[in-house]
Amino acid sequence: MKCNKCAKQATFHITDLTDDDGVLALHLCPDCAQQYLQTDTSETSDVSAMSNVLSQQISPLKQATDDMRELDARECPICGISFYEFRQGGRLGCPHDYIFFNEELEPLLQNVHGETVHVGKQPKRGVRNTESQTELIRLRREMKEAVEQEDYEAASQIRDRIRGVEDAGADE
Amino acid sequence: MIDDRLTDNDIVISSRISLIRNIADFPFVCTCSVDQLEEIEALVQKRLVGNPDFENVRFGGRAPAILERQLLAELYQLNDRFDAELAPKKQPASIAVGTDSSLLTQGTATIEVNDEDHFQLSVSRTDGDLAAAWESVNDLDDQVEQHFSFAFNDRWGYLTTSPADIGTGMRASVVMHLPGLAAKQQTDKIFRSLQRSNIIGRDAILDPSLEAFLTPEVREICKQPDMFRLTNLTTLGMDETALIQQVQDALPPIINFEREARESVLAEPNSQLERQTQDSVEQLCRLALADQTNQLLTNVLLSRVRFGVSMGLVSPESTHRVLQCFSLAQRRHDLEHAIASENYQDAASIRDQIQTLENQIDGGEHDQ
Repeated sequence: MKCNKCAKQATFHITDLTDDDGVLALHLCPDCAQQYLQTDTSETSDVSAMSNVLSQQISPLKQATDDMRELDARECPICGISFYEFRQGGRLGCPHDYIFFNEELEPLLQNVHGETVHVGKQPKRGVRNTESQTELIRLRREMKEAVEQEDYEAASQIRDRIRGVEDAGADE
Repeated sequence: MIDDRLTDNDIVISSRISLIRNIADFPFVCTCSVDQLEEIEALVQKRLVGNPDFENVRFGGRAPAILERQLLAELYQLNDRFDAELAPKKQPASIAVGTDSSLLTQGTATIEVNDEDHFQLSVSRTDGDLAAAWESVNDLDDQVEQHFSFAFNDRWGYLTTSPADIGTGMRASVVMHLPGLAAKQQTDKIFRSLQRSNIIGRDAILDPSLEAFLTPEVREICKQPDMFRLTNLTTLGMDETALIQQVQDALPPIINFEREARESVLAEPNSQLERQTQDSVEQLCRLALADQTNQLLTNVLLSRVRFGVSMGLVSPESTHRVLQCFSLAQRRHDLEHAIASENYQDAASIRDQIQTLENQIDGGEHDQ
């Protein structure tokens, strides 16, 4: 639900009694809720007291909301998926996401699996380390962009770097 | 002829082990561009399809028809008392009707490409031998790995699109036919207790998300599921053998409960079982003859017939007729594929088989 006063997400739902015994329902984001409660406190001392309490509660909640917003906006530099997109769809975008969102995924994995360490089968041939896996994904994307821009000199250089990473992986 | 009750094949319908793998050098499917998806498919085509090492592997992916056939393979096998002549010879893996020692029992291997992850390697069997399925799919995994470097991390294991699959990337599952427990309304209770053992039980026929799209008639028929898939819930922190053992250990008590429930259902006064079975036989034959291939309805009716067969309530003539009908449905399915792939030589041959089967079924109907 959107905030009644701006385009942000409403996280506070306030019901006020009006002078004519009616009811006013407001759905506000943390910023607008704080503003509303501060400006509305002059009318009665009861409301003032209540708004002070609510304001005190808003600060940590607002902090939490801000933190979540900041986290949601984080994007993997390799595949471009945001944490918000992951939260919505439950799907990660590339192997590097497990490193990039490591801190957030750890409790999730503990919750789902009850464990956080793999103990099963391992690939028989040498596994490229995560950095070179990521490097290859990034280089392939850059090579494609270079081709799209008709910068074939750059594309050629990137192609050679891809081959270098691949050869290094094959030697491991 | 082997009595299914001695091997538990009347209750344990099939088993499957799937391994999820991703290629290290590409983003996961959900963030791949169309070009990248096509590049992966071209690599699979070049390195795996046509390679003699993968001769007996069926490749699929975004083609739902292939998945449909996989479902057919798991659900349409009744048991070996049916006429083995009806089992398709050219593609024994595509249907399991009457196959007691076919390739399907040994393990049908499939590789799905670019579904939710780059690869889903699966081996299905028409028995509950998960250890054998694991052996086959493990070999398949090693073979594919010779051609692709998989996304893997020492700590997290095989990296997958969904964190729910990370680690082994393995799902071991068994399809069980539990009409006795379903009739006694005991399945929910059993599945709740299984969750504590890291196993989840689900309706194997109807995906709950599709329920809203059903006609009232089909919804009524599907409201009491009796074919369930039991699968390991987690994939991280235990090795493949231990995960498989968890599923395997859950089977014997459920089989015992089901046997008791079946006896109890059969002993009930005014049991409708015989009549319900016969009605289902008739309905199945009508659907097949009219070419109304409602997959869901067919599966539910088949499940009922199967129960009747297990309890000795269906005559050999009726079971033979049902099998003919399924063979007919399967042949129509094959015909669509042959036409779609412009393989008209096969299409002509399948058309002739369809005509023969229709005549046989028609003849049988008039004889009764």
